Amino acid sequence: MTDLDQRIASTLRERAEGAVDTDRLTARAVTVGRTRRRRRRTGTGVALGLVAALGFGATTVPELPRQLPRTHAGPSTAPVVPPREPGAPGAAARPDLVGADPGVLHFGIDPARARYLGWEAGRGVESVRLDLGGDRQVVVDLARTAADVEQAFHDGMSYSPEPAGATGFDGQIRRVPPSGPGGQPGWILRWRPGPGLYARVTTVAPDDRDLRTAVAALRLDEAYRCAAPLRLTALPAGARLGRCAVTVINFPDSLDVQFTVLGSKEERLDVRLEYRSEIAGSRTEGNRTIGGRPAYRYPRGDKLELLGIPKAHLTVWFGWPHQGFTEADAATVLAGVDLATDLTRPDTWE
Amino acid sequence: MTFEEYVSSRGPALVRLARLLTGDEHRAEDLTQDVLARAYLHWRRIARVDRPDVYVRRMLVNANTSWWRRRSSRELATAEFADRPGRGDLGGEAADRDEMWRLIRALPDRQRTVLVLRYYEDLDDATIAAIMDCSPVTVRTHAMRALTHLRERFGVPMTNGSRS
Repeated sequence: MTDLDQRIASTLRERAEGAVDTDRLTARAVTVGRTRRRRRRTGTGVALGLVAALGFGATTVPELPRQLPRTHAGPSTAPVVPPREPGAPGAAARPDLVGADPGVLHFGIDPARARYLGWEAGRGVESVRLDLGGDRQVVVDLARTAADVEQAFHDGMSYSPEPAGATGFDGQIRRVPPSGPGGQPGWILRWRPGPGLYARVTTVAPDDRDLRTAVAALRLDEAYRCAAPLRLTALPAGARLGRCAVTVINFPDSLDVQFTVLGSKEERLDVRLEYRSEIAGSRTEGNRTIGGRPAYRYPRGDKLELLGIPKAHLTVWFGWPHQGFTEADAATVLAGVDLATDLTRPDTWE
Repeated sequence: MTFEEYVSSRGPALVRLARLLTGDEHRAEDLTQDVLARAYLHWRRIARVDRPDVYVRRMLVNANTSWWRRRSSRELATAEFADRPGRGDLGGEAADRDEMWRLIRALPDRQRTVLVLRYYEDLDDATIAAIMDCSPVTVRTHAMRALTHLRERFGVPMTNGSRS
């Protein structure tokens, strides 16, 4: 090896060094991977549902416990909107509350300009995904700090740039060219909508029109509930709700809800409700009983599912990669889940 | 090998590789996580290939190339390694490495990628070619150009012993 070779090698070794949080790396990769897989399965499920409708592969719907919701009849087709929270101030009046309460969104959207596809709150940031018509989607993030905005990740918005510091929230619209032939560019606007507030709007579209529409639709003087068709009435000792996320992109055909429960230290578990209208049958025999209902602990040991919910999976992910909570904790949470009587009737959500 | 086992054993090395490819610590983590999330979706297939690590590193290199194209047109990195604090009072060797790093980062991305894979990952040209989806001859061409550039800029005399 020559002197130049050695200099290159030592320079690269020095520049590459530094600790890597393997657990965090794995956890985030798995979380994002699972989210993407769920979305793919939604598409696959539609195809499977079509096959079932044509008469192939009939499946028996299991008998349900009395207290579980009935299958919907005549689902709602009206746009889903989170309900107002009249007792809570908007972000403009109380920026210090933004992202602090997983039950409340401190901003809203003019429904005449955009349709909600999802909403999230907690862990420092509040976000909404919007449909502006014609498959044009925009994501709005609002937080008290630039870092909180930048840590928000949204599946499908693949043009996320490197994080911006506070000075990067300058009101400039940035275009990010498509990554390959035939792709559409990304558009990002970061700005300060008021004292103590940082906002970001992201979209993938031919032009920046949707960004401007989303900003015009923003309402910072209103507050809304992070409404979902389930509530958690019981948590493990010392635990608290950390995040609420609801996705209604394909509602009423599908619905995704995720509640993140945090412990006093690093403990975390996720409660997930996945509703798919095309689900024709599910596992009926459990290996656990929770609150008198059959439940199933998966062989890998980190997931517990409450069985017997029509067209839906209600699971608690309590093991790897989020160590800390136990199966007993997961059972406590599942036993306390209060489901809406009809998952597809948003007017019954809390 | 499960996905979790793979990330546990190879994840840190992937992040370090990404640091060298991107020159940006935050972007390196984002890039690695994004690539691993995509690998997770196809893990059963990836785990069956002859050398899964080559496959994943190829994903990483390709993802960085795509990002590099985007970055070069508009977005500016906000957290460069050069911005690390506490590097102001450098001795001779450290100053040399800083200058070398600056020159490596200024190389065209394909040339830089070849150097990283050859000198940091210590891979042979055939493996580098597999990762970069090109021929070994192209790998050697990139390496030769990069080394020639570094010799000229760094004032190192030409020798016959270099791995070019």
